[in-house]
Amino acid sequence: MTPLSENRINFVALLGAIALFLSTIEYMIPKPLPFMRIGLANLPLLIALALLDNKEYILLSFLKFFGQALISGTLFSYVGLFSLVGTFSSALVMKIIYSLFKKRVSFIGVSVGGALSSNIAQLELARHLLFGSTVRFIAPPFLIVGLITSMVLGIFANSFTLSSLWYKNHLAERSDG
Amino acid sequence: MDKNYIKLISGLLMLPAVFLHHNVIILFIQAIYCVFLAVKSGRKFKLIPNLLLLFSIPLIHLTQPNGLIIITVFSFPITLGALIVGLRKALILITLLYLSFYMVSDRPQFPGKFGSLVSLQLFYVGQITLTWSTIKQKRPLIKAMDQLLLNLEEKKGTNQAAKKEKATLKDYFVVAIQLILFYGLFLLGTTLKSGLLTT
Repeated sequence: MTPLSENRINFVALLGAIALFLSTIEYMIPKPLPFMRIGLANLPLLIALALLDNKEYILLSFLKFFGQALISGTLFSYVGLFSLVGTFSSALVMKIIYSLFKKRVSFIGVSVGGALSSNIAQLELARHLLFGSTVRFIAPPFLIVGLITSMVLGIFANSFTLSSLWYKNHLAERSDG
Repeated sequence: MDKNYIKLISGLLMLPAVFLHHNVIILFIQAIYCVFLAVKSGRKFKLIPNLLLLFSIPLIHLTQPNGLIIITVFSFPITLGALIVGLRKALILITLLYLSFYMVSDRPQFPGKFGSLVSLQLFYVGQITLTWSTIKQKRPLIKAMDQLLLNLEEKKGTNQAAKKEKATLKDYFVVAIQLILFYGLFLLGTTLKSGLLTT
């Protein structure tokens, strides 16, 4: 496995910082359940799909989880565990969808896929740790909110990747390298 | 220990006293204290953005009624619980923001590869808040974000660690006093029986 160059570490750190910044914004928004999130911090993960290799993408996912847990103070709590499971399941599914169907699925589809996988993994964890079978009562609003917010995030990612000069530069740099 | 680690470690030790706190008055004092630490370390303090944060977050939380109804405005209940939860979150955010400014003011470098990645992430968070305020045209949002990212790219590699210098006894003493003050406030807050001001 080749080590990351300083340039690439800088780039992953920058995306991680955006995730941390967006986590801060998300923290200000009230939520009915502590682990129910809009998923703003997923935006760098979506944008990074075409810009990072697998190793860099895992690092970014970890930075996103770490930043989110640090901001909300949940690093060593069960909420942190929900965040960890949600982040990595959505990152994995988004990476798979993007790698297999990038020509046929837009960022909206990728984002919805990621959000659903994250929500299902978190609901399953909630069933085991907190609610038992009554988790079915919170599942519908949880999934509906996830669906709506991920669609909005996907639309934003689509518009951003179409018009951003920064994104185009990095995409060109990656295809050259 | 190197001098540039001292602030980072003392900041990390202060974090539990911020997160585990529920008394709004003590949190307010902690926030002022962290602002003082950051300003002393060379950061600027802007009143208006902090005031906006302090008012907007509780306002948003009012949409989720919780606890005692203080007043009803056009059949919309203003509840004490929601106000306090919002206020607590706003104060925690302000405290964390200035505490992180203080922690990274000596440009510490965490050990190991992942450590340097986290150091860089914290460095860029600081740069995002600084650079965003310099962007004049914030609409359309995508264009402003693009400009922000392009500007940040130019700052690449400027996070060089400060010159390594051994911490003196005085540095340890200052940190110890700071921690005693911070946790003193924390203990004071937890012993105060002030039901109205806790979440």
